[in-house]
Amino acid sequence: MDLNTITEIATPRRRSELGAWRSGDAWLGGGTWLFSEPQPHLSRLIDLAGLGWPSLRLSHSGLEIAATCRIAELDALALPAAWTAAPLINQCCRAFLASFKIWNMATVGGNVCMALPAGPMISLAVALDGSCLILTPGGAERRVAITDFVTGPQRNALAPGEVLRAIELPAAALARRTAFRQISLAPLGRSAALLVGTRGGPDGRFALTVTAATARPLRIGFENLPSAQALARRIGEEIADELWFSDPHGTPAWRRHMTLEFAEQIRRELST
Amino acid sequence: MSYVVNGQHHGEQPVPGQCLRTFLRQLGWFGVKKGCDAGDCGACTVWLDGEPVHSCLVPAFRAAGREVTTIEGLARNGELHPMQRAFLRAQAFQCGFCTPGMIMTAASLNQAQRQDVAWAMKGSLCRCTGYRAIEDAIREVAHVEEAVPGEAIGRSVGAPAGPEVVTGRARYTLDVAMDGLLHLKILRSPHAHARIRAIRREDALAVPGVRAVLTHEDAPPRLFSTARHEDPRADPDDTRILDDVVRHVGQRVAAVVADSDAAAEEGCRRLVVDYEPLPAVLDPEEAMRPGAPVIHDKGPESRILHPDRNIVAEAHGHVGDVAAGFAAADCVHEATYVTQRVQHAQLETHGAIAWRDAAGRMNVRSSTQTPFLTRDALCALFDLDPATVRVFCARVGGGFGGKQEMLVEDIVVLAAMRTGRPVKLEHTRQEQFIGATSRHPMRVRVKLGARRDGTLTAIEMHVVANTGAYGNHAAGVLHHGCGECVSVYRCPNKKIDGFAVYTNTVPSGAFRGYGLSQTNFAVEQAMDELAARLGIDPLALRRRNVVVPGDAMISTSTEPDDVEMGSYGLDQCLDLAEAAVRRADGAAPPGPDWRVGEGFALGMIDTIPPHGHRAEARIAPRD
Repeated sequence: MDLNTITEIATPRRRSELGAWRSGDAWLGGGTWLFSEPQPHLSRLIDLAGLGWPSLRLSHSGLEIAATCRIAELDALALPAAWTAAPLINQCCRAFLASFKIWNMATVGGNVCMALPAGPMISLAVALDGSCLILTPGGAERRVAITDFVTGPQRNALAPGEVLRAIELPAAALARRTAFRQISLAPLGRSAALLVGTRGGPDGRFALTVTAATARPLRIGFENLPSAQALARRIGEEIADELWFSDPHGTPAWRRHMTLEFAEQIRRELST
Repeated sequence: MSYVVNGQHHGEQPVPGQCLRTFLRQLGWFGVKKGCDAGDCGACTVWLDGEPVHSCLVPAFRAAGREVTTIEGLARNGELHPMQRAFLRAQAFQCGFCTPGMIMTAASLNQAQRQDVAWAMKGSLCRCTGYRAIEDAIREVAHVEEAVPGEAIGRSVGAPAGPEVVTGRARYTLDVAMDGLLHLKILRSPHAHARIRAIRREDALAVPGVRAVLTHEDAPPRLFSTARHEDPRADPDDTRILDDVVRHVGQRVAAVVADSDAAAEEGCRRLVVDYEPLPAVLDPEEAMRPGAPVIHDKGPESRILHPDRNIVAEAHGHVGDVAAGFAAADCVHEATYVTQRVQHAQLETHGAIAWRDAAGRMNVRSSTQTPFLTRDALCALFDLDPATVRVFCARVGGGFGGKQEMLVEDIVVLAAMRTGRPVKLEHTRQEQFIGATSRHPMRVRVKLGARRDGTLTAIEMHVVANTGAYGNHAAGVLHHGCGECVSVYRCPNKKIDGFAVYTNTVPSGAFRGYGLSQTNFAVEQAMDELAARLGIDPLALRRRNVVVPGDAMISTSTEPDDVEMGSYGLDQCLDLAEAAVRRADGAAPPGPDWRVGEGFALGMIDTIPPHGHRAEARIAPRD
């Protein structure tokens, strides 16, 4: 929709042109959320597209996904065969409530910064040990783990003027086996629970990522594959009652039930 | 910067926060529709360098130097795109408002995407067809037959508007460019119930481009109903164009008329309103209790049945002796069934443009199901001669009963009269939910008694309908809702009590089914429960009790009505439904862990509105 209070679009070409952050500013990524709701408190959009961040960079150390990388680009990525976690990328893309047409505009960074419990790019990043590279005003940068970046529903760790530059997925995480489970009230609906299990790498560890069912993403790690009882117990310990998310897309009790069900399915899938 | 749309170059520039959807429409590409304006419905889908996008979410400036294709650019050299032809052949539209976006999406799919049509087409919402015809189009299934002269009767011929719809040339309400058009935006109440002490309009009037501010001080004092019926007395006169009391969150408080939507919105933000909050009541049962806040303190001229108890209308009827009927029953089932609020969600929101033409006549181009009744209402409201008012529709993008109301025409006419300029109001999707109407939420208690063989001995029904803050369609929906759901069954003893009640919530209104959807839901569930308790097949229970030719159709009274059986096919209908269920060729359960249930319901609905809508044409021989 038209954002009629916007009087200026800034189009920086390089970081030094970002300028001073002021009240009424918003970063413009894909625009798919910004333009979907009235934003009468905003007066200027700073378009990140002109900064020319390379969308996807593969190296020996892993995969760097620019915050401005479109979902469609990420979904189309071909990864080295050794990176066995590759299918998880496409599974997470398909977990979007949004249509594939939105993939042509929406960005990975936008989904992460929105910090919605059902944000599937958050699920992806948490499952693969993602860290967030943040540009801070004044030219410095900092990194935080994705689990510390998303702090609650529509809450993230960015301070005013900070911008998410990239999500970094380490090669070790990309070489793990993964198991994916997702459910929503309607087929193709908004995720009410999205769980990912990972196993492998040099230390053979097992980790369970719980998203959508909880107010913020959680990653529960184990030295070895746990028993069914141990897994359920840890879920009970790590996820306090008030952390189960409640909205019209699912009740907390159902989300908890599906989490326990999926966790056990994932444990079994990764046990062989 | 230059913008290229369908191969044409445009030098015009968008404003900074403008989305591509409104920019394309500003350039005259009216095939690009607004459904939700939030990226959910896909009615605005266009291609950007060949990729489908929701143009309501695309910042317009990002289309600079890129190739934009709209539905108008899909046909090449006068040759329809294969997907346009497929939509014509499958008749994959009704109102057609979603069709440009549907086609632009479907035409972009590759073979892999077409394998999973539901996934590929999510984010493309249709309100009319139920998607089957759209899926058929994508799968190249044809339904339209040729109308061969002499053999055309009984054929599925294509809709005459089809070629216009699939090419984006069909013109809906706001698909028109008009010189000097002003834009109206509405400030809406944040309170469920409040008196407006004062509205300060100076700051709003100071916004560049703002032409007028309208408040209750500018509105005629006359009360009316937004509901449109042949007989305006069918509804209570309880509404003003702009009132000094607001009775629900979302009610109009004031309107700002400006050169642009942006200026009108800014004007609304600058209005300073002093509210005196009043006690509110949100539940209809509570609203009927003594001591509840009175929502409409109005006299008998408003035709509100019991203003002091918030009751707009009641329906009572009694035939036979239900107490004796229940006493004679071997089995009695009683339960309460509750239905929720539902919005019509027409893809085309309410909207209208009003202007006075050179001959002095007031024209209103509106998305309405009742142009002539709305004209009559405007004439009554503003004391106008019907010969000087013309209300008309272009193609309407879905109604479902929700446009049997005057929800926008009154205020655009007031604004056009005040400014002397053409004035447009287009509801946002949010306004559809907070400032239009919905289906009446109902609480229905049903008590059924039957003998062991299934013969009904008594039917009792108690209905409470929540009409919200205004009584539009309250009485009609209540009476209709208390009608056919009961009169379809033969039973000597029936008792019905119905109440339509004001609350401080968004008004309910007409919605197809007109009350019967709610009561059918209740009565038919009760019939299935009764069948289960009696151990009788649910269809057999209905066969035993439904009216047959020669029966009177009685709900509340044995008085003559204007409804009678023209023909009878209910027996065949039950047979066909049973055969279809017994065939068991429906979709299999998705997995062994799915439990499958079976239930039956029947519904009878009068085929014309109560007491009809009349039209008249006169043909006289020329001398």
